[in-house]
Amino acid sequence: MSNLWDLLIDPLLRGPTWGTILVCGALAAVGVLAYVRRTTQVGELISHAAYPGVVVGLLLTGSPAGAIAGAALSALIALGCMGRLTRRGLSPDNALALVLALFFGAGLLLASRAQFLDPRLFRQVQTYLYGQAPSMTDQHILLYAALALTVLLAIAICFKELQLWSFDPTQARLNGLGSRPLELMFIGLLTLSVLASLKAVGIVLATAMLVAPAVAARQFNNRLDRMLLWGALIGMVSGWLGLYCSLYGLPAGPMVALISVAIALASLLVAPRNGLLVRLGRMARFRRQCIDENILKAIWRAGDGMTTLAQLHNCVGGRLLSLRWALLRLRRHGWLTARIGLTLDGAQRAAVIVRRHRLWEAYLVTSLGVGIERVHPSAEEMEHILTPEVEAQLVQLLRDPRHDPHNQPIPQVPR
Amino acid sequence: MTVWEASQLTVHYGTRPVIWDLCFQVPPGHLVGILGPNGAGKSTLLKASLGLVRPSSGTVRFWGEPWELVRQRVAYVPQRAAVDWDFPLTALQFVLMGRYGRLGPLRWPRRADRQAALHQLRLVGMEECAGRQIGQLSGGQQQRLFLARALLQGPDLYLLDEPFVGIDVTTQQWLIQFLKQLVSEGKTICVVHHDLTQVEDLFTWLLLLNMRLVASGPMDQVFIPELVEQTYGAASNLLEEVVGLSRRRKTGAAS
Repeated sequence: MSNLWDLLIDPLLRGPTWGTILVCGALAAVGVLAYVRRTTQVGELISHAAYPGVVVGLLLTGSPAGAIAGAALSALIALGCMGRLTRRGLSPDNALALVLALFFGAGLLLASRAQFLDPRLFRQVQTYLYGQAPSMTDQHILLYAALALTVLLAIAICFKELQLWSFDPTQARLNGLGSRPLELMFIGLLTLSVLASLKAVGIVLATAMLVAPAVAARQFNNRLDRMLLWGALIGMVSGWLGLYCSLYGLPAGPMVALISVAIALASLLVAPRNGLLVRLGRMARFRRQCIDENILKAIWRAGDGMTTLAQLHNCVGGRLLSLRWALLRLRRHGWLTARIGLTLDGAQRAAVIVRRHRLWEAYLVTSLGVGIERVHPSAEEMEHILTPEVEAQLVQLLRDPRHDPHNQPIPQVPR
Repeated sequence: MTVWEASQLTVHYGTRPVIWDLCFQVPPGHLVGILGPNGAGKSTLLKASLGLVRPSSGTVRFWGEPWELVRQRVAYVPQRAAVDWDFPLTALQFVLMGRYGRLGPLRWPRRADRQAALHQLRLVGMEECAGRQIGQLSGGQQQRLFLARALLQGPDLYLLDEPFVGIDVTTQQWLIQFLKQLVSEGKTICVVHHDLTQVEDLFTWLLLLNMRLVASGPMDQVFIPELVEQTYGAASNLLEEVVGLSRRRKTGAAS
């Protein structure tokens, strides 16, 4: 584990490490903006459309600076093409697919020609496809620190404007906020951080760094400001851990992307409001509630006639083991007496359930005109669903009926 | 003195006419209903007045001035579906946006602004929802938020687009009372409305609109069967067809 901290200070490793961390943080913060504006695909266009520029830039100058300049140029041309196509009435996703295919295809074609002309150059071109973090040096730290600072400052200074413009562009215009400068700034930040990340994560996986931290951050945050902070943090941690993996012979770029996606998926799983685990838990709780209420109802209906477990099992169904377990639970919570009998609280809860069951049947028959023989299954379900508020509405609507359609009494429950 | 006036206002979407040659004046201190069937150009009238849609011809003035000079005195409340309710934003932050125009560019909201926003939330009865994400609120609560945001701007004229759509009966009653209260404080409120129930006890001034202006004036003079029939009847379909054809001819879209 000490390696993880060593990465940050080791003279050979700190370049790649800090470079990746900073660039991933900047990319993730811009990604959060793209995510709430629902325009993450523009990032994908920028990264892929940069490829032909990289090839041409390397061919002409042979230097990384040339590659980046070429990348910027071809990315901007692609953005212009996409803007023109959408203004011509093509939908953004279709325009994106066309332009992306055109540019990336051209890039691959150029690269394959380069392979025959100059194999060494070809290897260099390939590193931009999948990233080559270990080749970064201390100079990259400075470069990427400047980038991260730019992104941070731009977002902090214009936070209010960015927030309003992303959420409600109409209101932004009414406030006299031109959308043009903000749009340009957003696209500028996006282009800058995507291009900077080509060295670390590569063309193919840059989008992952844009989207995954934002998705993860959204699961735990209801505010844009906190989402930005969390997104940047998750991006930085992914960069750090991804680079750590490269110490064990794994490729850094793909590992950074994979880790951020893993964090996003884990967040979706455990998100407090609507995560999969929370929902599974809620489902299990509801099933348990239904079982409990069915048991209470069965005992209440039978009156004193229910004395043995076998009788109850006949009535309720399900597996015997889960029935025993449910009885234990109901006793512990004070709904059942030591034998199969209801406590006062249990009797009242059962009466409420039966009352809701019969009220629902009465509602279906009298208000909706459903056939009397068809209402029972629906009532079996809704008796567990109805809330006191809905019950009160039913009582009002049906003028507090005393009998259900089967002429069974509707139990009155003291409030 | 008129609060809001339009002269010869015409708007097209592409070659389809939406508003044709509108002329009207709205005096201050009224609760104004803008009535008309679906597609009559009611929302477009608001958008064109606020410069969100470019008119083909005609002008709109507020207090005799063009819109750019009186921005802060006019609040616009769009239809509820106009914004993305999944956006990471709390109710308080939503209301606070009403201050952004007055704060000016690049300045962060201050504590006083936040207090003012909280106060408006309290006024619309939603104080306890301040920290909730806006998507978790009911339709009625979302409409209250829109109103609170407009209130925080402190305008003299409110333009509301279909505020009664998709809200519960309680909020509806509350909203009516609230709007009447604002009018009694001297504000002018214009409400785009598409159904004809409750019109009489809600509004004091009406614009009847079906692409063209059918009538405008005080409630008791305008809300009469002949005019309502003209607004909602089928007779105006022909107008739309001919004006549309004229536009297509002029732009070369039809021979």
